[in-house]
Amino acid sequence: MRKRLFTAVVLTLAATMPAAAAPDYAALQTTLYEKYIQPDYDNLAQKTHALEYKTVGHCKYVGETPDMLAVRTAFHDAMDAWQMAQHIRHGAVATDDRHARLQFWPDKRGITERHMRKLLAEPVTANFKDDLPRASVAIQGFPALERLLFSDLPLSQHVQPGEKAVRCTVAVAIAHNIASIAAALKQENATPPTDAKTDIRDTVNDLVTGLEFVQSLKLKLPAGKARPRPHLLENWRSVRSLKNVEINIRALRDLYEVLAASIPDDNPQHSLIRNQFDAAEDAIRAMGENGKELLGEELGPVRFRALSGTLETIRDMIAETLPGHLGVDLGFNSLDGD
Amino acid sequence: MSGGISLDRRAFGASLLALGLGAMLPIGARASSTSGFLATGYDKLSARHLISRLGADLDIRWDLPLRARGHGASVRPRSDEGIVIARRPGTYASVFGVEDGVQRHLMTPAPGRHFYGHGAYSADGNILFATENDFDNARGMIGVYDANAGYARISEFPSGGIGPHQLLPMPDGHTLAVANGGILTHPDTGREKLNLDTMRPSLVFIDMRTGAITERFSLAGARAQKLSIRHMAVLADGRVAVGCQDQAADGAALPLVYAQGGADKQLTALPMPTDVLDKFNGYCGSVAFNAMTRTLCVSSPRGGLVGFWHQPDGQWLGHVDMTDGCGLAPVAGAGLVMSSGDGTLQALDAARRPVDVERHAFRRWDNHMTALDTA
Repeated sequence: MRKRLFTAVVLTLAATMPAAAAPDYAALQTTLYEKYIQPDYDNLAQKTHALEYKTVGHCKYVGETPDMLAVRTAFHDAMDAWQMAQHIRHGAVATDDRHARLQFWPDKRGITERHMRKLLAEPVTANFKDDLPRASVAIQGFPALERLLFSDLPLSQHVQPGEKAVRCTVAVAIAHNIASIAAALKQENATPPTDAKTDIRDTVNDLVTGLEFVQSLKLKLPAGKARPRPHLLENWRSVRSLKNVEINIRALRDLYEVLAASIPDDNPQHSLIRNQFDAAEDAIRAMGENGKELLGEELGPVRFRALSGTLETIRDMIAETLPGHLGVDLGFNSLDGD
Repeated sequence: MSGGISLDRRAFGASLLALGLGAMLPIGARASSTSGFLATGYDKLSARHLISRLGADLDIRWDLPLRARGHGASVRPRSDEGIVIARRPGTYASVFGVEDGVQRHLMTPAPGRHFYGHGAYSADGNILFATENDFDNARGMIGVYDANAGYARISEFPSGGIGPHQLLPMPDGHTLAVANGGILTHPDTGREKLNLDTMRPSLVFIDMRTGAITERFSLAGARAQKLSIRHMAVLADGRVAVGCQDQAADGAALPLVYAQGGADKQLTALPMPTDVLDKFNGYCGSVAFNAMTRTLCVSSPRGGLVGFWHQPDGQWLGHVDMTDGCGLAPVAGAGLVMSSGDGTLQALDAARRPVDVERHAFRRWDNHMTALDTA
């Protein structure tokens, strides 16, 4: 039966893709880690380390340098790095809930807001920093820190009116937690997993899931059906919703190029996918960084939906062609039932 | 969430037991109006395996993260709890509250055993049976657990073959039907199939009170021994129908769906158009029976379709397409819900027409669904 399935797959592919020899999964995996995954996590570790350093520095000298510029810049740099790696969801980042601990999002029910309000309403416990990795994922990562760095209240060593926790203590603990997770990701991704074919299959899955994540949750959902829903935008507090999308599209395209390296340039589907990526990059650049502002404009939601549609097309085209070219199957039950 | 309601239900059941009235509850009643489904799945965003409670409206009520990929779920009769067993070679089984999705017990296999992915309760809900592998002796086993004593392992007996997979309680209240897939595996070699040349699949009836094998059914002919009997459903007349997975790679398309009724304790193939059988691609995923419409349903995720047969005559009724569709659950009333690896849940009415669809993005529904309120 397997032989028959294989024949069917080959016949289907022959119509769309050049007949490919069985890929050298180990070589492809090496390229993937050296060119893509390891540089991404190295960068994330470096930028989150700097974020922790700047948060500590800000809190140490608060009063003398009350402006938030340095620490906010460090936050943006770290978020830039995270957005490059956000779509990697298998492997080391799937261990110990690291992905959700770095960024619990989407958060449609406002769990982060509720947990942060509760946290700030009580004095910070002595072991808070050590206990944080086991606390709710909602207060461990970027969304929680963003609330402290882009708030109406100052990031200060003094308790603010109506609160009992010292915001600086909380922020330093979260920044430390983020940097620790990133350091572990850098270290564990230094050695790729042993089963190269499964790893490539999971990476193709991450690419397809990543495209769907951006088009549906970052664009279509906040664009809304009857009216825009700007508070469903990612990182609207730090005014970088669309900057995230721009970075995501670039990162997903880079990942596609690594995985599709053996597809000849003149392959028509491959050219179409690249053209669509070009269109998506042009569209997001023209949309700016401030998603909330754009959603307030008359044609804003339409532009969100148009870009969402382009990314959906890219996702469908990649899902149709890349798994077959690489000899991997994205099916769940059809591939590996019981 | 309706945690309060479930607490009340528990208290209600407990007070009946205290009065010695537990046996007055009709067989199969669960002292609740529970509806909906249990489904194992995978969340692509958190890269976690889960079991989920779905409402009759196909919305997700709760998710319970699992430590590894889950497989079959069962509902304990006369209680508000269910169990999900890990996919083979399974190293855990999780017992949870059906209303709140909170884990109550985490079971691990006995030394020298692993789970095969399915369990079944006795009609009174007191005993759990689970298919297991005695891997060093290459024997299929049925583990016996006391659900009233924290799921303590109280006994075991041979399954009558190698590689037992699904098992179901029969309507007589004391017989277990067990599908012995026939495939030998060992945890040292993962899911690798070690005996494809010598496999002998069977459907076996076991007296759950004694462990004695009372009946054994097999497939006729040498080639049919390559058909691993994996999943089944009990029909309205008490016969069992099974769906097989072909382990041979010779390109021949053998019938894959059988029911009791042949001569010499052999299983009889149910008819199926050749083009549909070709699409099944040697693989049945789940088997379900809707008692109301007397329809047997068998999914083929490889073919992306679900086939239907009328019972008891076994007449072919047709098929519906369902991409990567595998999980099947009959709906109280009439229809059927099908689940897909692409996150889609599709409800059909009694005439197999689509009536409701819900796509859960970033979710992959795994092999099986379980109806909480069977048709």
